[in-house]
Amino acid sequence: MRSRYTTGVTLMAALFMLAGCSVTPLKPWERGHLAEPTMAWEPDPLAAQLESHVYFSKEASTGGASVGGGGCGCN
Amino acid sequence: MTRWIFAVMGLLGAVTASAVELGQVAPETRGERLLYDQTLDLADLRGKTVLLDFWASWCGPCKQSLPMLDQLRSDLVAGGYPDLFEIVAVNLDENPEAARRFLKRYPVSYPVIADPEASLAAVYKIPTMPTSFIINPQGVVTWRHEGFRPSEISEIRKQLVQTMNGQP
Repeated sequence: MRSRYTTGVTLMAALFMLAGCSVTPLKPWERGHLAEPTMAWEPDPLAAQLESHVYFSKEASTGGASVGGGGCGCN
Repeated sequence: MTRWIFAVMGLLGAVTASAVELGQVAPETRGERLLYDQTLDLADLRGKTVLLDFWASWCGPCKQSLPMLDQLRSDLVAGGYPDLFEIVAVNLDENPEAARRFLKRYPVSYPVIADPEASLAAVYKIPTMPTSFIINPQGVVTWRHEGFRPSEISEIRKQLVQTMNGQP
């Protein structure tokens, strides 16, 4: 009887700990944080453009820093 | 033991399933108006069809939806429905100042209430931005629209007119 109780408590504890591991998705109204300038991949577009220019001048290639298109494979 | 686990799962399910459903009376919806020092309570609009629109200044489609809803409102007022409906917008910006800047750029003639803590958004459990609901004159939520594309304004208009005419 005691063993069943211990198993039950352990399982319940494991269940709650697993719940703690879950990733809570952003609520739709919290996505404004993702739209903030600080969340941009390149916070300074001018510096990024300059860096890109230097990169393709030295590498004699352009467009190497990123890929075109939205991932649909149509570009 | 199994019963315990199902009881916990049922409890968790009950907590997450509390959303506003179609056919349900709209929950208490009240808020401070963004541009005026007034409180707006949806209960005061009972007897009118209400389009309740959740939006935020950072939401891209809202830059199209707000002016188009404003135009729709003007068209319906001019088209013989002046006292039968109202559009109420609920702004979800954490910083109401950002919403005020947005409304200077895209002014609207309908009331906008501020919900910076998103308590109304949580009650209505909106799935995306923007989301709008039609609430009939009896206060029942009859229609929900998720997102916004300019081509969808005709469907919004149709649903509003149907509700005003008492059609399900």
